[in-house]
Amino acid sequence: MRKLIGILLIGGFAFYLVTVGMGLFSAESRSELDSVGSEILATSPDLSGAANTVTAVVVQYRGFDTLGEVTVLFVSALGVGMLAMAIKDGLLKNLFDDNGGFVLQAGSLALLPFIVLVGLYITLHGHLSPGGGFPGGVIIATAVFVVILTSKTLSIPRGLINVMETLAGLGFLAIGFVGLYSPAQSFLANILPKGEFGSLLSAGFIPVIYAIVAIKVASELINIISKLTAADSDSKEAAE
Amino acid sequence: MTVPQILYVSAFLLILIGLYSLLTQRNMIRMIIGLNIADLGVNLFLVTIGFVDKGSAPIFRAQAAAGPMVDPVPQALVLTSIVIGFGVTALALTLVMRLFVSHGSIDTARIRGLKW
Amino acid sequence: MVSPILFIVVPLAAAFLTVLVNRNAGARILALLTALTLSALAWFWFRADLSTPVSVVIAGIAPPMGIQLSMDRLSAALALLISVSGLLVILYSQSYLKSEEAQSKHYAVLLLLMAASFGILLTRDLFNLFVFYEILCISSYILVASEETKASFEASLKYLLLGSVGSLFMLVAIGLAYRVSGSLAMSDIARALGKADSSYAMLTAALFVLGMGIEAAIFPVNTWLPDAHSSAPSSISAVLSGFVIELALVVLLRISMTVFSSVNLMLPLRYMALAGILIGELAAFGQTELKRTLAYSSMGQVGLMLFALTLGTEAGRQAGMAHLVMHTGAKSVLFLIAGYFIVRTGKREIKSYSGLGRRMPLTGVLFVIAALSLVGVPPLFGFFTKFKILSAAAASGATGAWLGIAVILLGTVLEASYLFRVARTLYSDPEGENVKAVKGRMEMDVPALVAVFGFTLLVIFGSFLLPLIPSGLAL
Repeated sequence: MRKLIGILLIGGFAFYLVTVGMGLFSAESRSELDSVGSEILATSPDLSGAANTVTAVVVQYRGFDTLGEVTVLFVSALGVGMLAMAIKDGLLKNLFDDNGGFVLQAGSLALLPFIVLVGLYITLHGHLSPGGGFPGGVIIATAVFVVILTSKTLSIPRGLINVMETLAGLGFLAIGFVGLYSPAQSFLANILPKGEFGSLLSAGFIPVIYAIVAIKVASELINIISKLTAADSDSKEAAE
Repeated sequence: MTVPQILYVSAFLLILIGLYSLLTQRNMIRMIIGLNIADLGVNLFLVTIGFVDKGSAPIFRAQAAAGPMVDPVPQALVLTSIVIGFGVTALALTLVMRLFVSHGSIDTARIRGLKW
Repeated sequence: MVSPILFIVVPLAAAFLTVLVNRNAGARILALLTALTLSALAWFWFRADLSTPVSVVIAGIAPPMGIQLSMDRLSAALALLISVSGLLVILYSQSYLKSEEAQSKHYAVLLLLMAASFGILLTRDLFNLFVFYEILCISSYILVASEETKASFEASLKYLLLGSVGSLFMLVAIGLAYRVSGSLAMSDIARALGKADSSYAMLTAALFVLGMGIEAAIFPVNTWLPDAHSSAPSSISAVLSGFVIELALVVLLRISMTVFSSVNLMLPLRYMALAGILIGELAAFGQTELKRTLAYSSMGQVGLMLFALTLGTEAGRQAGMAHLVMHTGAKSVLFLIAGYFIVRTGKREIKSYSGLGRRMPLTGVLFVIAALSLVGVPPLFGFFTKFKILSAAAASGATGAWLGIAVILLGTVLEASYLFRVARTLYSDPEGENVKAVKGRMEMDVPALVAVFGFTLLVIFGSFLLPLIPSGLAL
């Protein structure tokens, strides 16, 4: 019955899209941009100093969206924390109870600095090449996740992670305020010197924001992962 | 068919597949997977909007290839949309875990409030 | 210099900080201080001269390339409503929330919900609106689930799945709008959609309204509402029913009237509103649990506001906004008191509350006042707003206006009968086990009583505010 309803609903929606929507996509092969993107491409090198225009859009032109984005991650990490607190054992305990064995444990620990290094590289080159704070932060969190997967005796410094999370969030807002009370008088204005175009130390506050975003993303993800796998020390103790 | 047309069609197919599995699946994990598939479709749709014929990535390099660059704005939007999708998925999975603990099942037919 | 950005930044900063505060008392004080600051800010903007809206751009980049926020009279009035409601609810929560809970996280999510509410009110960029809308939705899902009962998890997941589908539709609509206008600023999109193919504009508008209509609880996509609002903690039910759905409704209408002005959305929305009134009130009439009754009644009340706002006349918009303010006050009172009924008796059914009105005299009176105002009994605020809606409908000459008047009157009769049924139970003789169940400390705790009293003041004296309530739904 629900299959039938599903097919009917989706079929109706598809029919509507095909009759109304698809005809509108027929003349689609343009060789130049006619959107605000072309203006951004023209102004970005001077305005932001970032070689990677997508980064310039994410951090500077639409920096407010990125603040919201970081907040989305923050609120879902909070939610996972609130809801996962009651799941102490039983569900995922068996899954993560196995010791990975010496080779995997030592290997994951040996890999940890290198994965973190890659994450840092990707974060700090976000204004020059594809990458930036979001993927960089995810990679750094992955390093910790690999260790969690292989060993059950990992204790994650939760207090430290919470402090980093808060400081990163406040740092983002503080940079915004510096812009608001600087001569530019605008929240999140890029007032740092732009540097030499295309070099590591360029693009004003973009690498700074991306470093903050990376810290925020990494700490949120480590929080979520440790909550979901119950790998953090206090819930382990509570379960025993 | 041109490249963007193919991409538009696949984006809408992905959205439809995702919504269909959201509607018809009884396993909550599969419903969330359906949501993610639909999310992918929307992201593909957004990226395709910025398509330009023979466009290159919007990154300025020293030895720049002549020719147009694609629109950077939709790519920035997709980045945001991916992060939001991640947040919602993490929360949904946690809720499913809680439901599994309290009901002992992830089948919507066995959960009163989610049956339809 | 007071910038409108502070509305978003202050609660965000407080929420980031709250996580570090492990002590419940500290988190509570921080949340209260934040809400106080926000109320002061909102009061400043409410008193300021906003005949021309005050705009700020982010990062010094003007739209269409950058993001613009704009504070107009409507935003200032709603910001005041939101921050004062938030303040009162936080005040109420400190005695209502169970002490062993992780309160700091609860307050942090509530503050983020407020930040997101201000965000969708102020922003003039369609994608930025989407981002704040997502924060609003995700924090609502979390707060619904924070009751930690089976029913609340079910309601939260249902809400999440529906809400996510809505967000997908919104995102597709934003993509379609960007494709035709090449910009994300609302004014540019409005201009471009005016020139675009009408079926294209229709598709964009339909997807957007369907998506955002989920949070605004518009008729066909409001199935999540009764579950979510009834199984959430009562303080959160008051927030969700009190200002979140109303806010989403107003923002949705503002966008329908400006960005999608080339598409005639008002007529379908008006009929959806009437269906919402009828179904909400009929379902509320059949409920046995108090909070479910109230949740279904919210469904009907949202329909009533939507009907008034879509009449297309100045008087209609004025009446709709006034009713919105009234509903925030009255429904908050009802939900907050219902929370204490549940705490005191441990039961959710109306029949277990028999005799409670005599044991909790003050609380009972406040409940009855709010219920009377919701129905629309003369000296109270609700009478004026409902009367204004009816007269605006009669004067508008819009399609379906007279049908609407009939539906509203029918809805009022239903509403009166189920709310009076509750009131009668409250003042009847306690039966059976209720006699001993309602012993112990009876009246609400002082902070909660103060909070409920604040909302009640709005319900009683709101009619004096009528000339101050703005009605302009411009960008």
